[in-house]
Amino acid sequence: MHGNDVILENLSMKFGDFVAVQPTDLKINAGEFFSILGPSGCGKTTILRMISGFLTPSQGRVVIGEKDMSGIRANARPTALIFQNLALFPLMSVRDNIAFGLEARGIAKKTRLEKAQELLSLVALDGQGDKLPTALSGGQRQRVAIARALAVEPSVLLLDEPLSALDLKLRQHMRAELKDLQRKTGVTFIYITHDQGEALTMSDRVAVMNKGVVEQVATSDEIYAHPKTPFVASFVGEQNIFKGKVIGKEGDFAILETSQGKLFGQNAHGLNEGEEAILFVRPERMTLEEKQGQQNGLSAILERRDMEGPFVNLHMRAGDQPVAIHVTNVEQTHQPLGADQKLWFAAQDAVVMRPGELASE
Amino acid sequence: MNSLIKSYGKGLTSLFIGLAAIWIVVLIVLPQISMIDRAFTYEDRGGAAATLALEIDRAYEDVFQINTRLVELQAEKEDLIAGTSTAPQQDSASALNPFGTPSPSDDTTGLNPFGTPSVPEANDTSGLNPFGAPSAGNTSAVNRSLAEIEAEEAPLLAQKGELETQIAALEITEKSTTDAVGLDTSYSLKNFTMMSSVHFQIFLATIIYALCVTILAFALCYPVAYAVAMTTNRNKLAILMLGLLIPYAINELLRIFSWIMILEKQGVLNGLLDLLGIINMEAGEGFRFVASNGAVFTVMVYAYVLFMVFPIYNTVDTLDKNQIEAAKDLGASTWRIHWRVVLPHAKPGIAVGAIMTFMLSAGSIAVPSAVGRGLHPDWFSQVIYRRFFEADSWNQGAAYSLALLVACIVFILFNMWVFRVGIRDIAK
Amino acid sequence: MTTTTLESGAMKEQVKSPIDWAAAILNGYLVIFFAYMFLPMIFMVIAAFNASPTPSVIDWQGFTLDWFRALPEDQRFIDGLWHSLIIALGVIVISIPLGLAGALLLTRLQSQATTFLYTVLVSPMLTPGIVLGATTLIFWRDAFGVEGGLLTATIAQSSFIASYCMLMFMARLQRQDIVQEEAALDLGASSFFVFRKITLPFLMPTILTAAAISFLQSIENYNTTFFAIGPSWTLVTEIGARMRFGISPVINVIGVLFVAITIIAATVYVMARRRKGRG
Ligand SMILES: Nc1ncnc2c1ncn2[C@@H]1O[C@H](COP(=O)(O)OP(=O)(O)OP(=O)(O)O)[C@@H](O)[C@H]1O
Ligand SMILES: [Mg+2]
Repeated sequence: MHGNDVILENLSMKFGDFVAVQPTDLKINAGEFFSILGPSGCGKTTILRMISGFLTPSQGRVVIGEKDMSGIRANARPTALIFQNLALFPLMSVRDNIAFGLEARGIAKKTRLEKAQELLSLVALDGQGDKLPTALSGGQRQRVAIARALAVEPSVLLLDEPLSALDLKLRQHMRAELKDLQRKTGVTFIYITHDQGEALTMSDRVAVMNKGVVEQVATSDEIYAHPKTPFVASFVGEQNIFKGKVIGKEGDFAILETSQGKLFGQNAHGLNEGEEAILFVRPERMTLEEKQGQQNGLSAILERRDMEGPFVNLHMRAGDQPVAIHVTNVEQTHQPLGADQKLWFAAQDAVVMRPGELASE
Repeated sequence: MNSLIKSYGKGLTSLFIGLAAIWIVVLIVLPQISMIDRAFTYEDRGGAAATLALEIDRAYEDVFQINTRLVELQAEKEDLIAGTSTAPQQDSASALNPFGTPSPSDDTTGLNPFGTPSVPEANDTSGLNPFGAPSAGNTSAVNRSLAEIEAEEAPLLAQKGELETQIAALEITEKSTTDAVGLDTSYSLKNFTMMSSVHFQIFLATIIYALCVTILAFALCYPVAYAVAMTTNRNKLAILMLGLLIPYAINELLRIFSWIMILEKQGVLNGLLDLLGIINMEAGEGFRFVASNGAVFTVMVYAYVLFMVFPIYNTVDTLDKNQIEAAKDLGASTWRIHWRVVLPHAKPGIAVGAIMTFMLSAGSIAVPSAVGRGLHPDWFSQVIYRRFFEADSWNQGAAYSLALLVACIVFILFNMWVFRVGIRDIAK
Repeated sequence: MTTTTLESGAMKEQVKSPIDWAAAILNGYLVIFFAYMFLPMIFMVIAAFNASPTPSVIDWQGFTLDWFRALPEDQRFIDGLWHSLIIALGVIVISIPLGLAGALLLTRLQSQATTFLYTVLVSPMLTPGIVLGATTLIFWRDAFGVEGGLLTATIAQSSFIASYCMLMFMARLQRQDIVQEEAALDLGASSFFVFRKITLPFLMPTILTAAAISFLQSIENYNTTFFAIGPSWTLVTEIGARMRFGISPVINVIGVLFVAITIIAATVYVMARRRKGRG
């Protein structure tokens, strides 16, 4: 098995007047674990279905492994789809489920059963071949679905929120397994999710989508550290948000006038004096004690303290502005609720952007 | 039992048990027992009485035949009066007859479910007689003058009158003999074993016909049930549902009746053929589709196909559409998707639909009597009816009913076995 | 990457979707199927307005409403309608309590016997109508000397319509929360009180539906009634008799009335269901 690259050219989808996916250009590399992350209804499934061939794009085209897929039906594309609800065939045994794609290709019974056996081992379900899918646990069913898709040796595996039906523990376990499988098989994985934890941990690269638009494509680290739009900044991870106006620039930094006084942040988008702006700073980048080089300081009142084990979330209020800060268990403090507290952060840990749509909570 | 008393208390529980018991005993079990009892009770009417009964039977059958023939002649007469042309009629056209009217062999064997090659229409009358009684008007001439027809009619009428007086007389004698001697009744299988070979053939033919109707109905309705189940557009779905519900809700008899206007000699189908220039109705040409095997099939499927559509639709509708896409995605052809994914899922619905369709068509009395109108080899239900109400032989009628019931039970068990469904899947 | 394919592709803005032959064939088939279903009925309706004394579509002898005027004067049809209504009411009165009793027993009885009991109680649904009619006729004559007539027809119909009622009640009872009853019993209510105040009101909508369906089934029934009714007749058996001995456009008129009522009722039903689905 080997992966193929997938190229979306000017791909868009309209349902009547409603544009589900705006014209999109995207290149997914061969053998990559690529995630599409976005809130519910943003068009993720629609993109996936256009790649798999179940939807004909209103515009643009899909190219897989240098071959134009226009006019090629789902059953003739080198892709295999894992459905949100898995869609295993409930009346066939696990083995027959896995061998189905081979059966459909008219492969001899002996060969396809051997192949099914191989795949059963690959997904660690050796003794379970004769059971019906309903007799398996959620995680096992998940693996059957993957084995069934891999049986037809696709060069691209499309996964539509395959873990959403599982409970948290199993989901975290399956992340590692999926990543592992992807590495073992070398198949290109296009993975759809609205769970940023899944996207960030597994993916080589992530595309963040909102309302039919791909807003940023980058590695997990890049997305987290250098979001390009207010939406990406606020959708991925937590942010403290300060609104204000640029009153000055200092090298790569901008100075904002906000309700909390002057704040410094990276001027990555080149804002000019007088422009409206938003400043984002991650809760874990804020400290309770001043460290060297932290230009920004504000005072707040401690309202709530959530103990999460390895770290502690402190919910504060600076004037009318809520501020969250994460401290590790090691450096935690025991201020009483209602106590006045000074907060600090460095200018290079804050990003200044032009106002735009934010992710709703 | 305890759980019952716990939920409903003693008084209500006994009320419910009482009602259910009445239902089971009075409405279900005792009537069945009466039927079985009669079916296995042979009424030996004594030597003389038996011959009498047989004679009366025969006379009734002859009268029936004559009546049928008279109706025929009447029709022919009307045709003659309407269109006076005597141009050579059916022989050339009947070769095209898509419905294949029953040939004489059909009537005696009754086993050919698919209509043998057609024969010229006028000749049909020679093969119409399911009972082998002397055929009334066995003419090979295709066109006859009014006089000729009336010449045939007159003796028939006379014969009929004669038979009727004969029957009346016979019945009086029969009554007096049975009153005097009493019926000698005893349990035996004779009601079944005495079934004449014609009746037995009709029984077999009916079962085979009903099986064919069932298979045909399935083939016709499966795509419809599938298409409706796959429809996601709400408006289209509402219209399709209406399209199925309306004919389903309209009375069976009326729907059957509506076909007469199509199949009749002066009907829409002949009108269509006329328009296409295949026949010339002005000249009195036209097929009598009524009473052909094809007509009975067409109408029977028409009348009962909806009993197949709904159960299948109900099961296919519960199929997760993703499964179809998954199969497609894995490269399965349309055929394989149906064979491996949709049909296995629809099994319980198919079983229900097949059972209902088979039962309704095997027990159908409306279709054969409306569209068959005496010409078609009888349907078994018509034989049962005549046993009861014309031959006044209730015990044989009961035996025949039992035979029909057993055939249905066998079919149900067969379906339960083939489709691996339980009684609770069937009756829902 | 082969830039050549990419460039040539970029020019192509609009992608033509391949014609979906399977869907086209299926739609074509649907059209034929529904024509098969509806054309005969359309002909039947048209012929009701034809002056020709034998029902016909192509032998058009002028538009007339005479057959509509003839119907109310046809005493046998009017009597048949009354008979049908009497039987239908009788069927409702018998089938609802029987079906209800059967359903209540079967849903609460926890024993091996339920499958057997269930089979017996649904068996009339799976029995050919003429057999039901014949057995009822035989039993009532042999046991009580009752000859075929409205009474035997009512009883014969009830034997299978009660099964339909039972299945409807069972479907409803399966959705009942037993906890409600238990809570009421726990609060000291008598079982009779609980049945009257909780179970029966819960079943009320189904009782109404079951009554309506029983009514329709009874009115429409031919095979069973035909055997069980003896020398009497109902609207439907009268239609059957006319079909065998001399058809007349009056039957078409009855057909028109049935079609009209059915279309209105079905449309209202589907509309109501859609509205409910939306709300
Ligand atoms: N067949 C369709 N007809 C009309 N609108 C559609 C159709 N399919 C999807 N949409 C709309 O397109 C938008 C995007 O749908 P899509 O299923 O791609 O979302 P998604 O990102 O996968 O969401 P989720 O995370 O909830 O699965 C939605 O607003 C949806 O209502
Ligand atoms: Mg989705």
